[in-house]
Amino acid sequence: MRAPFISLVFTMFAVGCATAPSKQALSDSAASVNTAEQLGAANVPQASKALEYAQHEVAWAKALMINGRHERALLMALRAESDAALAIALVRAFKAREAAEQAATPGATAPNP
Amino acid sequence: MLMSTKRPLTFIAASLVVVACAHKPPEELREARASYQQAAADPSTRQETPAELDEARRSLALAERSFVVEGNTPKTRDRAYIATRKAELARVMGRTADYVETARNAELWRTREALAAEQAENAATASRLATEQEQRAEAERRAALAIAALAEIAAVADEARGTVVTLSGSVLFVSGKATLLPSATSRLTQVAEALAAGDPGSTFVVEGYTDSKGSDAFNERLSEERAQAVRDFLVEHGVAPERIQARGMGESDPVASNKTAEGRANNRRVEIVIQPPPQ
Repeated sequence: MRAPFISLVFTMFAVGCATAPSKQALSDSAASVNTAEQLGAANVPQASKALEYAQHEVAWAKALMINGRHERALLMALRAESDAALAIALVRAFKAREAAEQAATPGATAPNP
Repeated sequence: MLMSTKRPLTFIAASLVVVACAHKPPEELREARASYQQAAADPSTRQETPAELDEARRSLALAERSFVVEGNTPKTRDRAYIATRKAELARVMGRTADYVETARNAELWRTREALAAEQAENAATASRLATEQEQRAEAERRAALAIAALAEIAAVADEARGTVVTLSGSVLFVSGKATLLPSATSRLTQVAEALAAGDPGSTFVVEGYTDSKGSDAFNERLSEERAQAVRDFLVEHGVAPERIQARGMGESDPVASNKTAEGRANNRRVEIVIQPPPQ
């Protein structure tokens, strides 16, 4: 009677350990996607593409998790995270370039990028 | 016989293709390698974002290991994809740092130019003020010398309306007329020289006064004609006409009693008011 119970506990523990990293990664990537959206990545040509990829990958990672493919879900969440980070960096680069061009214009005041 | 040798050969060829495909790096991994190489070769990325570049290197190593261990699997491709993005991220951040630096330099340059322009303007203002001060001091020196010269030939007094030089009417004019006496010309010539040599910004008003003898109208006209005669003489002897006016004051503002001969003599006079330039 006791052996099946212990086996069940171990199984639950193993499943819990496998889902935790992908859940965390998914939460992190969703937060990064949110930041990219707030920064206006959708309005910056190159950044909008990266943002689109990230949004798609977050959805994909969620689907993988639901299907119990946690390892692949983790990688997909990490892909989403890397695309969202790139989108954020592209928005910042775009703004910095605008600021540099404006600063190079005579009589202009350079805003902080 | 021919068929039997051909079959194993086809099988071997097919196996080789499968093995070769399994060991051919996926497109994602090749892209990740190229992206990392580009980032590593970019001076801005190396200099500005070394940590991100190192992160990209580690991601690529992970993808390479995954390919060796697992082969061309979705996980390997995912890891290669992530490595590509990390390399791109490092490059974009390096470029951003360059833009920020450019903007900062432009701002610094503009600030420096504005400062230089302000300093040049301050120097010009200081130079102009110094010149004006020198001119002022020179004018004051000349005015003092002129007043001193006038004080030797006439009565000089400082009043609210300016420095007043008083010349006696009896010394200058024929009695009851506006004709200058020959003896007056020497003194008036000295006055003209002193006025002309004084502060070039000063202006002069020649005021003629009479005693109370005779009608007001007569005295008015006589005082005006006398003031005009003195003005004309001074202009002929070097005083700029736009700096000097003449005004007849008649018997007004007597300086002494008109009841005595001496008082009336004092009242018959010409005053030259020297007005300093406005500050």
